[in-house]
Amino acid sequence: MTPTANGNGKDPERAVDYVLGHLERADADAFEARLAADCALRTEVERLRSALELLPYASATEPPPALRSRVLRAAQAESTRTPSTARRERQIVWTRFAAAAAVVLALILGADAYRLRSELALQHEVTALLQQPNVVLSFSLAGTGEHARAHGAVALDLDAKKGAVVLRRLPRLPSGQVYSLWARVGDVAVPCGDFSAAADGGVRAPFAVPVESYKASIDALFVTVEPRAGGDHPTGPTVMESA
Amino acid sequence: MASAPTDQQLLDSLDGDPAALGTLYDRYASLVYGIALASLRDPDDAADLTQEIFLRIYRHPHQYDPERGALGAFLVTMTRTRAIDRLRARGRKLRVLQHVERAIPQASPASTALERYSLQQCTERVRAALERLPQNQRRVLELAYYRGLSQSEIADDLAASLGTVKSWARRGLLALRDALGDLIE
Repeated sequence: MTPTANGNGKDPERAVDYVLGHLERADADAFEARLAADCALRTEVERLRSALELLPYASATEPPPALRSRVLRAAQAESTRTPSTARRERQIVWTRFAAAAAVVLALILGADAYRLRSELALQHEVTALLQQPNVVLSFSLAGTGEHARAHGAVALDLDAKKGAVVLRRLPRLPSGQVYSLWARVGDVAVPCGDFSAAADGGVRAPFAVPVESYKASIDALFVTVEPRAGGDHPTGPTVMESA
Repeated sequence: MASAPTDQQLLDSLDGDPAALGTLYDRYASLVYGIALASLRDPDDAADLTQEIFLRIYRHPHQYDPERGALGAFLVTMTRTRAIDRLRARGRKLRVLQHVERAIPQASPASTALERYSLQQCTERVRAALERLPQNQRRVLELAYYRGLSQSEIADDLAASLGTVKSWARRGLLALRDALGDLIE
């Protein structure tokens, strides 16, 4: 393999480590920044990833013969139950979500269509790089109290354990404070990440979703103001809530 | 002679025809069960996970978006993710595969391969490619993919140095890429 156009001789090694998930977070982030700018490197990563993604086809194994009837019996038993309407409504295919989100966010964000397209394009690019599967939970958020003008949207992909948040019209916080996004799961608040508002009051960020912390369905999302490097529980005022 | 129903036709008919699940099972159970078994290393757990995956498809057939690739590739991703979740739930020290789980092109090459070749052909090709790899290179890739282990965990598992594991991983994946080039293109 030859070094990429940008001449970084470490890239081929890093490409393999990246695809295998063996780069530390900071190194992976730096590598992704290089990927975004280097088409040849991106192609190489895709080829390596493609090779790795073929690995499971070698493991195909006939299951125990009795499993087929067990699965079908369980499905038959379920067919008599009423599915959870609420859950179905929240589970939408990503491509449909993208289209719906474009409309919702266009309404939310107003006339800044170019930026919106850019954000969605970026989101698509990011999600394409994040092995975006199909299931996405979507929430819209509205400001509370003195933050009533704030609004935004959150998408959670539980399969990829990734989420993305876009918020608008939030005031910038003093240094030492951050906006924290939480998922309310039963009576537990699961932290989703800390964010700072840009100069224009906007927040746009991907975040990791700790699926293992979700012991039940997500009841709501909310945003609080917390000290930087705060704890695992919300302590500050709630400034936004999901509808 | 009527052609066999497509995966999408079967998914669309699941609501009123649970028997369609049987056809999907016949097509993909060996793939799903094989991944589950390779990851969990326990036949009962692998059977449970296989049932979970097919019931999930049965409950939510429209979670699958054909524009994003073949159903087989979707099932691979779902099975592997769930398997690693289960391993994590067992309390094993497993690295979250943030970076492996990033990144699959919209129409993944695995999907493309499945569109051009049968599952059995893909299985035979990949097995042959893996058999040509030195055992240590193959083991490193399998431990990273199926078990979600970090390089240092793999080094412990194989009683090798970290540098050696890195070297095996790199050489193994590059060799796999070269051997499966026509499936990837």
